[in-house]
Amino acid sequence: MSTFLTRAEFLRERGRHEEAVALLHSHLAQHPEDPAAFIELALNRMEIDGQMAQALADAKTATGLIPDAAFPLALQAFILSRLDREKEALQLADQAIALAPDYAYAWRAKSVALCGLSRWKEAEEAARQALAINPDDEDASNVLSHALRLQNRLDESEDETKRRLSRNPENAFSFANAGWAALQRGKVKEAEDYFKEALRLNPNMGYARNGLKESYRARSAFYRVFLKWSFFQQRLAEKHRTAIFIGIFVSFKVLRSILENTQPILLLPLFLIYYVFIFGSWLSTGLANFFLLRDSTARLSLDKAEKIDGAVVGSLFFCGLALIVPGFIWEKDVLMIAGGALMASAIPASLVFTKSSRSGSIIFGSATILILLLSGLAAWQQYLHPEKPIFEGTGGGILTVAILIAVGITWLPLIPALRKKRE
Amino acid sequence: MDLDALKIALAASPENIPLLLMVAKLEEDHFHLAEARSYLDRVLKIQPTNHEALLGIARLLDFSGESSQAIVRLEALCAQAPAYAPAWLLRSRITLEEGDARMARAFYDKAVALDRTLGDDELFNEILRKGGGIQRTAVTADGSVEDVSQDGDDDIFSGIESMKAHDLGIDLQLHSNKKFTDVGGMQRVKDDIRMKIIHPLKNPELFAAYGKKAGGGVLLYGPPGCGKTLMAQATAGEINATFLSVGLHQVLDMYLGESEQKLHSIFELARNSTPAVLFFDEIDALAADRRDMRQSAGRTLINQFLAELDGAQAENENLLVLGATNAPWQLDGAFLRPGRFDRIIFVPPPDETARKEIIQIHAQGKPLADFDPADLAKRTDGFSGADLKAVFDIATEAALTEAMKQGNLVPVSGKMLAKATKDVKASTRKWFEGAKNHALYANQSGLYDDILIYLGLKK
Repeated sequence: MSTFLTRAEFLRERGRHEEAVALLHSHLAQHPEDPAAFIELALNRMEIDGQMAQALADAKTATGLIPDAAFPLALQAFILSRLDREKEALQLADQAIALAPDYAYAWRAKSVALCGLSRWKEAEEAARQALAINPDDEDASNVLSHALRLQNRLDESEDETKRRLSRNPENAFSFANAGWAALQRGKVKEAEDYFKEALRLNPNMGYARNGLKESYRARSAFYRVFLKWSFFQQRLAEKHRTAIFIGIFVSFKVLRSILENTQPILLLPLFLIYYVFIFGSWLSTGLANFFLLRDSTARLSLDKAEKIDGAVVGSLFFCGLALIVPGFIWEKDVLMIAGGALMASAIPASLVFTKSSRSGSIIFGSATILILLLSGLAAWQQYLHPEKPIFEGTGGGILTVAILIAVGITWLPLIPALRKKRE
Repeated sequence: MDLDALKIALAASPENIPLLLMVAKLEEDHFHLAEARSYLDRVLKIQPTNHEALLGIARLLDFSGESSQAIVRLEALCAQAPAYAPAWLLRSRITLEEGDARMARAFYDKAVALDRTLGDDELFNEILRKGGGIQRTAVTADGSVEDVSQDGDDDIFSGIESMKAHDLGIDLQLHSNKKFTDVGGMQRVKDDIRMKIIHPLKNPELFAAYGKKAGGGVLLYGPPGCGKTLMAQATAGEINATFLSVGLHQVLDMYLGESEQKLHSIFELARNSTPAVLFFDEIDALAADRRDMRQSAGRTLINQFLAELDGAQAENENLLVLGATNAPWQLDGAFLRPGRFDRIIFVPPPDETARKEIIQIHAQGKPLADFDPADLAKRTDGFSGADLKAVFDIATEAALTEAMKQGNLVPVSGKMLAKATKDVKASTRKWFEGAKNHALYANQSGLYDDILIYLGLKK
């Protein structure tokens, strides 16, 4: 092995990935077809921000140079999973397993790909297979614990985590897994402690940092309800989640038309439940971030985008509420329109900063501004003609368009291109 | 680079020395030796002591087979500018061609001692092959050549130390020529170093009365490119100590070779040169957390390092061990215990004063217009020294492109520099993103409080 390659491996073990890549380039200048160097390049680039696609290309080159080896195939599968391309990842993991059925790393790659596809039962089986081959595979154990948790088999998940921690009490991922399991059980303080321990061991672990943020947000009972809903959704595959979303919408429409003709008195509670649910599921994170901003310790866990999200969503929602309530009490339509507009614009605003792709942010940001502008115009018309009912005349027309935009925008996040991608 | 285009630029600016040197080098590369010489002569007409031109002429003479003429000129150049390393290297090469490997070795060692980046394995092996491995001749710190077989001479001793350092592959400066005045701004860090390092070494009795002793280990940490190495050199200069520097590549070599013995030899060399500052750059590579080590060889080396720091085999009196790292969290906890690297200093990105001084250094020798260093310093908050260099590189490239288009010299304008500040992203930000997590979540002993204070997260 050349000294460049040995040094690069040493540097990777110490997390000095950029320097390792530079040495590997020097090595490849002398040995342009060395698969080991391409594998090292891929392993390093996986850890460098924005270089995941190059890592994939390097792993592919290594596969081309040694097509009968399972490792580069499994490595490609891991990279593809991190690029949210789990279907391709699964195929490559299966190819790696076909080449080397007793290779724990390939089974782990399969398990990770299946987790990404929310196929939890199969992910559990693949992780168990990896552990049967290598009982000391800590990562496989952590994936198993994760897969069990997402099947709501919390006791088994915790047992696996405890087993892992008894072997290695400094495994940050295991602590983070324990934190998520505690959070799923509603044990917020316990979860917070586990996440803090995970972060003490590995302060850059996103999985634990996100968990800590969720446990801070879950201090509010309101947020805990939506966290439960979120855990329930997490257990489902993407298509099932969409089906449930459509199902709820259709059920609301059907129930509303039935109640209109039979029990109109029940319409108010139906609207109340439906809109609390809608507002809650869209705004829960933004509002929770808003509350965290007031906590001097917890707000440190938020990144810049989350802080802006909290400030914008919280301000729009609570300012809207502050206008709607007096408007309702004193029957001032202008105040109700302005308040409603602020609250409705909080929905697209909640998607701008943390949840969308670049194009998604532009669309949702524009929708927020458009709703505010149109509602402002409608409120002005209402101010000029207070005698007219809200939905009549020019103002009524403008307001209807604003409402249609607010409702329509809630369907757009179903388009994958508008959602935030990993990496 | 296009020779014709450069000649056009030269016609517009016939006294531009860098341009003349560039054209001469390109002519030399094309083996147009006479033309190259004429351009170098033009440089000497403008600036008779220009080292690069004198060196270039010696090289051209050597190419034309007039090596004794070349040697005479190099002797004069080395006497005139003893710190100019390329002259020593060329002298070594030509002396070797002349058949004197022993002298060639001495000149080579001098060149590498002055500028480590000039190390040329091929030349060095050739010197050894031709008998230059017998270390009986040395170039002393002041540049003269001595025969080390004469015992009891201090200067000769310095030469031996220099050779040992070369054999160990480390940089050795018998007297660091840097002082705190050479480091712009960063007053807080300097005060910290004065209190934690310089005063205890200069007033050992006073500190002993308070139960504190001189020497020991100090860790400098902070984002890359922000002057940790320069600060270490300046510290050595302030206490008038020998400065021995071990870099990442020497550390990597240790993992590949006879590591423990080599590390011990480095410490021995430093102990023999007291008062001395032994500086380990990128110390996280050498003192990494043993839990992350796969190979037992690494663990043995770390144990050896700890033993050397503790002075288990020899006294470390008047030996200051300085470590610099971008990733203090990767250090094995054992290194941070009392008696080892127990004094920790955060070196933040350069402040506005420091940036202004760095900017003025980069501006030297460049044609500038509407240049306001204070304004540029204000625009570059969070920039490291390396980022500021990148700003100048981008602006200079823009000026050169414009000069090529217009066919005459275009100065680097304040506008070009301001635009370049937008193209360069402060590299320290990425470091702070990671460091913030360590400071927030793994700061049980308050080790990283300085980071939180710098980020405004703690008062």
